[in-house]
Amino acid sequence: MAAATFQELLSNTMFQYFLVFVFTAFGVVFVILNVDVLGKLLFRPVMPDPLKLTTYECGEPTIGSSWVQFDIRFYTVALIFIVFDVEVVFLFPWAAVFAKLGAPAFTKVMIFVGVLAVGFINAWKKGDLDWVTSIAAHDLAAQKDARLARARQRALETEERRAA
Amino acid sequence: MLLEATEAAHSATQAVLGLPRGPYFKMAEEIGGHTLGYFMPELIVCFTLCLMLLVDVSDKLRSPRNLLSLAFVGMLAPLLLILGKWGTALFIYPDWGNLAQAAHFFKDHGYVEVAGASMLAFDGFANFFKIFALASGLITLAMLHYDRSLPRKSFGEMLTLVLGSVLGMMLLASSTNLLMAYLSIELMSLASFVLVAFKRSDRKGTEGALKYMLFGAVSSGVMIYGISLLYGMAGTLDIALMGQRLRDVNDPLAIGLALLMVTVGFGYKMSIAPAHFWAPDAYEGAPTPVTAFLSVASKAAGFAGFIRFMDAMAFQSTGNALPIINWVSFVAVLGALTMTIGNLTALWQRNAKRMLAYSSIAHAGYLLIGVAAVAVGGELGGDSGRAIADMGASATAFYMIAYCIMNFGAFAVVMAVAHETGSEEMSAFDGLAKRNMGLAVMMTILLLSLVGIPPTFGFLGKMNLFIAGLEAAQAGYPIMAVLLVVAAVNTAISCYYYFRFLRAMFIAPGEPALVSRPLIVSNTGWLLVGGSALLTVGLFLWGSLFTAPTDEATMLRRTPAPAAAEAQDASKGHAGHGH
Amino acid sequence: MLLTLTIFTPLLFALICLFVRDLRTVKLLTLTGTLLTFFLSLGLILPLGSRGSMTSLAQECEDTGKIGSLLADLRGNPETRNTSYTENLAREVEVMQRASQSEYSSSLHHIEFVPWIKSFNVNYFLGVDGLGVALIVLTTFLCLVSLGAAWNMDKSLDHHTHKPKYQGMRAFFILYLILETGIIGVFCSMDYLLFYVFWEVVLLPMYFLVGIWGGPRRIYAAIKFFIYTLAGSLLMFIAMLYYYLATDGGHGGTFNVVALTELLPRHFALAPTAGALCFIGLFVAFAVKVPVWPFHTWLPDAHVEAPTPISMLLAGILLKMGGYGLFRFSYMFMPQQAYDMTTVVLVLGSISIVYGAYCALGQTDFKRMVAYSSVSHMGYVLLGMAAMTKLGLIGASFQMINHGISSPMMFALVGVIYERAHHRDLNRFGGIANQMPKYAGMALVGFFASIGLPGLNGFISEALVFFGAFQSNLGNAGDGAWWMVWTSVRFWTVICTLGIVLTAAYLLWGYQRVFYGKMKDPHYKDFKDLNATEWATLVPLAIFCVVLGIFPQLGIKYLDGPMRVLQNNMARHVPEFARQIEEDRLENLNRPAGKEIAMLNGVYTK
Repeated sequence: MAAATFQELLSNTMFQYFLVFVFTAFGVVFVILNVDVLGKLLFRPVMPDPLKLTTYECGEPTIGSSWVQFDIRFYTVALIFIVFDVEVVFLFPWAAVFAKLGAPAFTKVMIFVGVLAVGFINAWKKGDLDWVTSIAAHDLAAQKDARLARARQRALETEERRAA
Repeated sequence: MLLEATEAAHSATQAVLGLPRGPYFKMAEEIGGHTLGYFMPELIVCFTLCLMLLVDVSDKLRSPRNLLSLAFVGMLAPLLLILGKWGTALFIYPDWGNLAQAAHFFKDHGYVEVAGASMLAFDGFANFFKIFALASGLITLAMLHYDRSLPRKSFGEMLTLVLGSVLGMMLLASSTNLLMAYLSIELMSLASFVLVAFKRSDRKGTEGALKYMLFGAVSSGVMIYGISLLYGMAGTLDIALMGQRLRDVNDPLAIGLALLMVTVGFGYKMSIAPAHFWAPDAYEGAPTPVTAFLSVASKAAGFAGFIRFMDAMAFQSTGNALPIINWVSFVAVLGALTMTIGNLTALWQRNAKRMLAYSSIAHAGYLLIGVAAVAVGGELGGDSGRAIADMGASATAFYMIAYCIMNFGAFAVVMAVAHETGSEEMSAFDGLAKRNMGLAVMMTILLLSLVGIPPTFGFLGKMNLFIAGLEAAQAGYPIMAVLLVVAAVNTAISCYYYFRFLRAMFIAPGEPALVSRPLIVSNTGWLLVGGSALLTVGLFLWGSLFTAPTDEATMLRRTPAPAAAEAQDASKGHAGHGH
Repeated sequence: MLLTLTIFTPLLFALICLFVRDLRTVKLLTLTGTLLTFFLSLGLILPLGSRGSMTSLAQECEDTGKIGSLLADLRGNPETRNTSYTENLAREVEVMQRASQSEYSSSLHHIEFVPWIKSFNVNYFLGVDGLGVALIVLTTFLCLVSLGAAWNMDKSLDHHTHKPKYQGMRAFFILYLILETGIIGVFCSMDYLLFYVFWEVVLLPMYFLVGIWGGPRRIYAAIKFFIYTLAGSLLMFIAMLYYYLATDGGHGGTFNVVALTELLPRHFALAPTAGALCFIGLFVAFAVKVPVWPFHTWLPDAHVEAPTPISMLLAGILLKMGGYGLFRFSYMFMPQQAYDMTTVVLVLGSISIVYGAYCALGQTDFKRMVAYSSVSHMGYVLLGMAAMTKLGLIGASFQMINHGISSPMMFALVGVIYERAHHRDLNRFGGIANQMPKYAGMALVGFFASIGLPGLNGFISEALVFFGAFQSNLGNAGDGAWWMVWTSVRFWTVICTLGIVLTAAYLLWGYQRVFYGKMKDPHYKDFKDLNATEWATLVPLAIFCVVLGIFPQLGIKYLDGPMRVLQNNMARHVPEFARQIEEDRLENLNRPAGKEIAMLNGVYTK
C-alpha cells in the first residue's frame, strides 16, 4: 500500500515540484551550514586581514578604477562581426546540400546574404569601420554642424530684428 | 517542404511583377495554394527598409525630402494594399448600420506557413491592427517632418527605425505563434529603444532609453521563460492549439505561472501597471514624435498580441483543474489599477509630455475594459461568449482609433508650443489663447476627447468600451460593473489634470512679453493639429462610419490552422503530459 | 423644424460672432440671437394652447407621419430593408404606437426624427411636452434677461487698479450663446444619447464662463463644478448604456426615451437589483445638478464666483436640468424603484430645505446667502416629487419655474449692489433704501417672491407642494407602526415647514441689514439708483413674479399634463401605488375639507 501511494505521489506533478523544492532547500542549507556555521566553528581558521579583501590581479596591486570606458567603436565592430559569424552558421548546412537543392535555394540564400550586405554597406559607408580616420570625419562633421548652427542663429537674429 | 516554400517564393516574385494586373486579393488567389502573397504588405515594408539603408549612404540621394518620401511610399503602399480589400465593401455597403452584410465579405482569410507550422494569420483582426500601425507610422512621419529640433543628419536612420518598428507591429498583429509573437515584440522594441535615445546629448532621453531597455530586456526574458513553460506543457507554440491542449493539462500552478509570465511581456508593451514604470521616463525623454508613436502604435500592437493570446487562453477549464489565473478578475484588477495609477500620478505632473505619458497609461487601463470583456467571452464559451469577446475586441479597436487621433493631435500641440517657447513644461502653455486662439481651441477639442466628453470621438470610443463592459457584466461578472464604476470615477479625476491645460491656455495670464507675441504654427503643424481636431468632432457627428472596420477587428482566427492540426496528429505521441 | 431652429439659432449667432471683431456688434448680435430664440420658443407654446395644427407623436407614428414614412422608406430600399437599424426602428415605432395609447406620447409635440448613428440606433429625436416647453421658454427668457446684466460688464472697472475688470468679452458672448444652445437641447431631446450630448455640452461653456470671468476663487469653483457634474453624469452614462443593453431586442437596444419609458419598467420588474442600481446612478447624477444635500457643495462656490449673468443662468436654468432629469427619466423609467425609494428622496429633499435655509441664515456674504437659498428652494421640488400626489407634482414642477424667476432676480439684485460697493458683506451695508429707493423697491419684489408671500409666484408653488405633500399617504402606508412614522411624507412635510420660517428669517434679516438702518460707509452716498440696463434686467423678472403669482394658471396649465402622465405611469407599473391613490381619493372625499380639496384639485388641474 505504501508503495502504491508513493507511485501515486510520484505521478503527481505538484509532488515533483515539491521534490525540487526539497532538493534546493537542502542544497542551500547544506552550503550555509558547512561554510558559515560548522566551518567557522570547527575547521576553518579565522584570521581577518584587509589584504584578503583586495582584488586579486596577477599579484599586483590594482591602479585606478576598474570602471574603464571602452571606445564605442569596439562594440560596433563586434556587432558586425557577430552578424556575419551567425550568418556563417546558417550558410554551412546549406552549403553541405547545395548541389541537391539547386537554384531556388541558392536564390533564397542570396536574398539572405543580400539583406545582410545592405546593412554592411550602410555601416561601411557611414564610416563605422574606419578606425583611424573616423575621428577626423567626426571632427569635420562637428565643424559643419557648428557652422550650420551659427548660420541658423544669424538667420533668427535677422528675423527678430526685422520683426522689431 | 523546403521545395514548396521555394516555389512559393518564386510565384510570389511573379506576383510582384504582375501586381498592376489585378487587385490584391485576386493576386493571392492566383498564387494558388501558396500563401506568400498574403505577406506582400510586410514584404514591401521590408524592401523599403533595405532600400532606405542604401539611399541613406548615397550622398546624392540622401536628402531628408527623398528619405521621407521613400518611407512614405513604403508605408502607404501596403496600407492601400490592405485597404483595397475593404475598399470594395466600403463602396458596396455605404450603410454601416448593416454590419452583418458587410462582414461576410471578409471571411476569406489566409495564413503563412513556415516549415509546416502556421505562423501568421491574415484575418480581419490582423488587418485592422496592421492598418493601424501603418497609419500611425505615416502620422509619425509627418510629425518627424514637423519636428525641427531633430538632427537632420541622421534623419535616415530615424525613418529606418520607424519602419522597422512598424514592421514588428504588423507581424505581432498577425502572429498566431508565440515564437513569432516574441520575435515581433523584440523587433519593435529594439527599434524603439534607439528611437527614444535619438537625441544623444539629451540626458533625459538617454536615461529614458536605458530604463526602457532594461525593462524590455527583463520582461522579454520573463516572457520567453513563460513561453518555454507553455511549450513544455502543450507541445506546441501555435496559440489556438495551445489553448485547446492546455485544457487537458492538470497543472494549475504551472499554467498560471506561465500565463502570468507571458502577460508580463505583453503588459510591458501595453504599459499597464505594474509594468508601466519605464513609460513616463521614456515618453518624457524621447523626441515628441517618437513619444506619440510609442504611446499609440506600440501600445496598440501590444494590445493586439495580448488579445489574440488571451482569446485563446481564457477558457473555463473543462478538464481537471482551473488555471490558477482567473483571467477576468486578473485583467479587471489590472485595468482598475492601471487607470487609477495613471490618473493619480498625472495629477502631480508639471511637464506636459510627462502628464500625457501618464494619461497614456490611464488610457491603457480603459482599453483593458475591452480586453476583460474578451476574457469574459472566452470563459463563457459558445456563441454568446464569442459574441461578447467580439464586442470586447471591437470596442478596444474602436477606442484605439479614437486614441490614436486625439493623442497624436495633443502631442502635435505640445510640439508646436515647444517650438516657440523651447519648453515642454505646463507653464509654456500659459496664455496660449492670447498667442494663438486657433491652437488653443483645437487643443481644447482634443482634451475633451481625451476625457471622453460628448461632441468628440473619444466619447464614442468610451461608450463602446462601456457597452462591451456592461454586456460582460450582464453575463454574470459583477467585477466588470465594478471596473466600469472605477473607470467612471477615473474619468472624472482625469478631467482635473486635462483641464489644467485649459486653465493655463485660457485663464492664466502668462508672461506679458511672451503673450504679446503671436505663436506661429507651420503648415505641417496645422495639418496635424487641425486634422486631428476636426476628425475628433467630425467622426463623432458621423460616428457610425468607423464601426465596420473595427467590427472586422473581431474576426480572430480561433481554430488552429490545418497544418497545425496535422502536426497535432503527428505529435500526439510525444506531446501532452510532457513531464 | 421649429425646435431645431430654436436650438441652433444661438449657435448660428455664435458662429457669426466668431468672425466679428467689434465688441459692440457682437453684443448686438447676441441680443438679436437671444431675442430671436425667445420668439421662436414662444412659437412652441402657441399650438399647445390651441391644440389645433400640432402634430403629436401619436400622429407621427401613423404611416403618414414623418417617422412612419421614414420606416417605409427604409423598408422600400432593398439595401436598407434588412439592416438591424430598420428592424429596430420598426420595433421602436411599434412601441411608440403602443405608448401613444398612454397620454405620454400624445402629449409630445413638435416631433423631429432623423437617423443619426445607425449602428447604435441613435436618432436625432426631438419633442416637447408641457414641461419641456415651460423650461425652454424659461431658458430663452432668462438668457435674454441675463444679457442685461452682462451688457455693461466690459465697462466695469476694477476698483483697485481702475482698469477694465473683464477682458475678452467677445468670447464671453460666444460662450454664452453656445451655453444657450446646450440648455435648450437638454430640454427637448427625446433620444437619451442626444440628451447626454447636450447635457455635457452645457458643462464646458459654463466652465469657461465661471473660470475666466469669475471672482477671485474662480478656478477652484469652475473645476469643482465641472468635476462634480461630470462624476454624476458618468454614473448616468453607465445607467444609460445599461438601458441600451437591457432593451436589446435582437437588433441592438434603443435610446428612444418614449420606447424606454414603455420597455424599462417591464424589464426592471424582472431585474430589481439592476433597477435599484440604475435608479441610484441616475438620482446621483441629477441630484448633483439640482443640487440635493449632500451633493450641493459645488453650488455655493460656483454661484458666488460666477459673474452676475452667469449666476443668474446657473440658478435659473442649470439647476432645473437636474429637476427635469428626475421627472423625465428617473421617475418615468423606473417607477417601481422611485416608489421604493420615496423615503430616501424625501429625507434628502427635507434636509436640503432645512439645511439650506439654515446655512443661508449664517452667511455674511450676500451672494452666498442667495446661493444657499437655492439649495433650500430646490428641496421643495424633491418634496413634491416624493409625495407623488397631483398637487405635489404640479407644485414641484411649478416651483422649478418660479425659482427660475425669483432666484435670478435675487442674483441680479446682488449684482447691482456689488457693482457699486465692490463687496457683498451683509454687515457692511445699511441704509441703502434711502440712497436707492427704486432699487429697494425692486428688491422687495424679489425678496418677497423668494419668501413666498401670497400674491407672488413663490407662494403658489410652495403652497401646492405643502398641500400635495400633506395629502400624500406614501411612506407609512396608513397602518404602519407609530415608530415608523419617520418614513411618512407627512412627517417630513411638517419638518419642512421649518424651512419656511427660516427662509423668512434670513431673507427679512438680510433685507433689513442691506436696506435699513444707518449707512455704514459714507461712500454709499455716491451710489446712483438703477440704470437702464439694470431696469431692463429686473423689470421683466419682477413682472413675471407678480403675474405668475396672480395668474398661476399661465404656468400650471402646461405642467398639468406631464405630471398627470408621470403619476399615471407610476400607477400603471406599481400596483401598490395605484391602490393607494384610489384609497387616498376616497379618504380625502370623506375628510372635513375633502370636497374643497377635490375642488382645488379641479381648479388647478383643469
